[in-house]
Amino acid sequence: MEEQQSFPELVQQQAGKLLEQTLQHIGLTFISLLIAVVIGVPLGILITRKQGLSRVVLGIAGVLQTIPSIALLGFMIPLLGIGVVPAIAALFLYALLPIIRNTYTGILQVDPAVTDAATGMGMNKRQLLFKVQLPLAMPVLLAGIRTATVINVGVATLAAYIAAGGLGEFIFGGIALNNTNMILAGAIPAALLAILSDWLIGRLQKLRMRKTKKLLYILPFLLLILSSFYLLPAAYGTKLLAGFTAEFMGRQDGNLGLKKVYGLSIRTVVISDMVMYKAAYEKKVDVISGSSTDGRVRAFDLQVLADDRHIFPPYYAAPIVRQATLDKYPELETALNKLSGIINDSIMTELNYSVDHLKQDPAVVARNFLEAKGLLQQEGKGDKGTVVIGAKIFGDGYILANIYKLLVNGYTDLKAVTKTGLGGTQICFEALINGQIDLYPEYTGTGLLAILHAEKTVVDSLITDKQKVYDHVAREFKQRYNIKWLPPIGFNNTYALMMRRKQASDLHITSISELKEYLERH
Amino acid sequence: MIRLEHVNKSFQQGKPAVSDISFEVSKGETLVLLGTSGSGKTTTLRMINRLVIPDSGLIFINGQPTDQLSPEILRRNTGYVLQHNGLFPHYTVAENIGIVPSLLGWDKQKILQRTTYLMEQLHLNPSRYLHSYPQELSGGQQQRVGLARALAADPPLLLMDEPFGALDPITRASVKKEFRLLEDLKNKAVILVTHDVQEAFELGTRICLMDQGVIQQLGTPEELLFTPANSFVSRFFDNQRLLLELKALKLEAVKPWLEIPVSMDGGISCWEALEKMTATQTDSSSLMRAFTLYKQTHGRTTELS
Repeated sequence: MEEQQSFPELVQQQAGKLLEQTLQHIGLTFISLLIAVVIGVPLGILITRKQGLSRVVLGIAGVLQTIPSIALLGFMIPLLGIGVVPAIAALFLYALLPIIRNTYTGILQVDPAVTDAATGMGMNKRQLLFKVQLPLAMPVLLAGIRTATVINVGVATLAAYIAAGGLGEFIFGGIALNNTNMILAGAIPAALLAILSDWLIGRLQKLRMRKTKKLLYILPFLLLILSSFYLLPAAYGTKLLAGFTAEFMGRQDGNLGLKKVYGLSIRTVVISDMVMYKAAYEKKVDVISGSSTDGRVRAFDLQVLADDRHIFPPYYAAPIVRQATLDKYPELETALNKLSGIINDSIMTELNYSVDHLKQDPAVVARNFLEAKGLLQQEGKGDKGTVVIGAKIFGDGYILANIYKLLVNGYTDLKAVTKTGLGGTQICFEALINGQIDLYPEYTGTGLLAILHAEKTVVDSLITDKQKVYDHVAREFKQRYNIKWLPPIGFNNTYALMMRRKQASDLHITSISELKEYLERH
Repeated sequence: MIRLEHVNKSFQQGKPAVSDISFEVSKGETLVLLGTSGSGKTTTLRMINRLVIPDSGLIFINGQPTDQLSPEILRRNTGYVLQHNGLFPHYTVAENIGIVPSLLGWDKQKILQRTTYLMEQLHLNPSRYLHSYPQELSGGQQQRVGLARALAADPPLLLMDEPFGALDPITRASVKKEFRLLEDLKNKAVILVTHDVQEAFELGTRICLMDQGVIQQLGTPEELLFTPANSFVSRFFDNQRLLLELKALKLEAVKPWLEIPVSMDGGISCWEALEKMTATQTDSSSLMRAFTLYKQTHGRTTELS
């Protein structure tokens, strides 16, 4: 594994990205704030005149405020999809309460003798509002805007969750990669932004009365300027927009590799892998960092771009088995190898599609698959012993475990039991070593990087060749753990860049190199 | 100048706040609405500039019914002084005084001229206070600014709601004195609300004594004292009667009963004459006797009390 960069290094290397995200963050915060002021202040004024409405309006705004921010963003997805619009909508709703409430109380706390005098002098309602009530309510109103700003700076970090950008991209990336410096690179500017805007508005509040009158006019312009920051990154961006997961953004075999090896420079937003495929389908983004055998590749008709320079390490799946079990039941190996070379990427995608998208039972999908391939056999006696088949909690594991169960039961007299949902790689592997399970399907790349923790030099010498990686892990696992890698099943479940099939064919892009050339031309 | 005809007002249902009020005030005259709290005096005042809308009855200014004017136009042409001055804390002294003229669209130069003139009249140094904020002034100064603000557009009618009520006695005396001497008031009708009997007698050309929303008596100070309309009126002044009578009575009025002639201007009140005599250590017993004789020949107050 690579060592983590130091904080100054990271900041230096990511300076451009950091600036872009900070500007986006400011933009998101202040666009939503501007809308909240434009709507909240008149609403606050209205309810001072129609007291009956005040309870209803403040009640609704109060309820909105209590919805957890991540949930509010979640609610926005079905309503407004992903991206900037739902993020701004959610932030706007958050900013609304403090602004309405402070406008309302600000105006009500104006000395009645003063408003009485103003009316008595012959001011009409408009003059009373603009010459007396609003200027005198200004400090309280500003306090509301101040609260709303600080809330928004904080909540805007969550906007990255729905691909709206902002400093949350670094924070989520850092969490996904367990990279503290990266989290700090997002968190520190966000905190500074909150402190700075709090301080600035605090200063405005303390300005002399005379100046607050002018402030009434300056403030909207200031907000507009700050809001426009969001547009800056888009203005110098590329024609296509990529949506990458936070983890992918920070990995050498991810976006960093794309930059270094391919020289690919594309405008990116961070997006959760939960919504990524759909976002590509809905044309919110053009390129995503998917997983090559994910069922949603099929469901949303996406095309995987060829990794012609091999930056994504091979993640070929193969069953890994305890040598002790193989020694005890030699017939097991033959049964498991029935699957070797049978499932390619598109078949695995199809199988995942059936389970994830069509919600079919993995056991049924496994049976149908073997039947179609003519590999399904009548169950044996099952009295010779028990074999426990494990699987990781996600993706291909469930289906593969079920297929292996049928194969073992069919081709041997052993009885196979599945133990799926064993969490991540570490848990599964520990279970295998300790003999709680006898075998599980693993990926070559995972074996190399996550289990063997191979040196960078070793990784670099192997990574472009799938056979070398397989040989290396097979040899090392045998030596270190007495675990045998059986021949690969055939598919390669790795990171892959993918685009909508239609767009890819329109633009004549089939590989990452072609994508890069396209971006350079346009 | 201003005339109220059978004006009524009740808040909520039931008890009327003001019933059947009629009076007239002409130019150069000061009418004091006197009464305890809840007597309806402030409501009466606020109906004149339509901060309170009467239930029935008519109010005329220069013969024109006020309900036919837009309330803004009416108020811009009516000076209004409040007890707690109601100055705008975010406006400077100059801006406060200039509010009504600027609402009326005067040009800036003219507003400034008028503002400095009024400040000088009210002993506020313009070069020092023009750009101060109300909070930086003393209570008396603030009330002077409030007065200047009401007079700024030179309205023919001035309404004053307990204008000196919030001031300490010494400040009150000096502000009142300036107010009485104001050249600008000579051609205005002034209606002033107070619960302070002495203030009413000092400032009022006529006094309208109110109780429970009804006018008990309307007349000159002398009339109220010496020919009270009912027992409420006479009882109302009982605990300061001697002082009030001395103040209300002009020296001239008691001259026929004076044994030793007094070499003082007949226009001053008996009270002022007594004060001067005390200051110069002159014997005042003859004046007091004349005062008693005057009362015996005028009115029925003595018998009543």
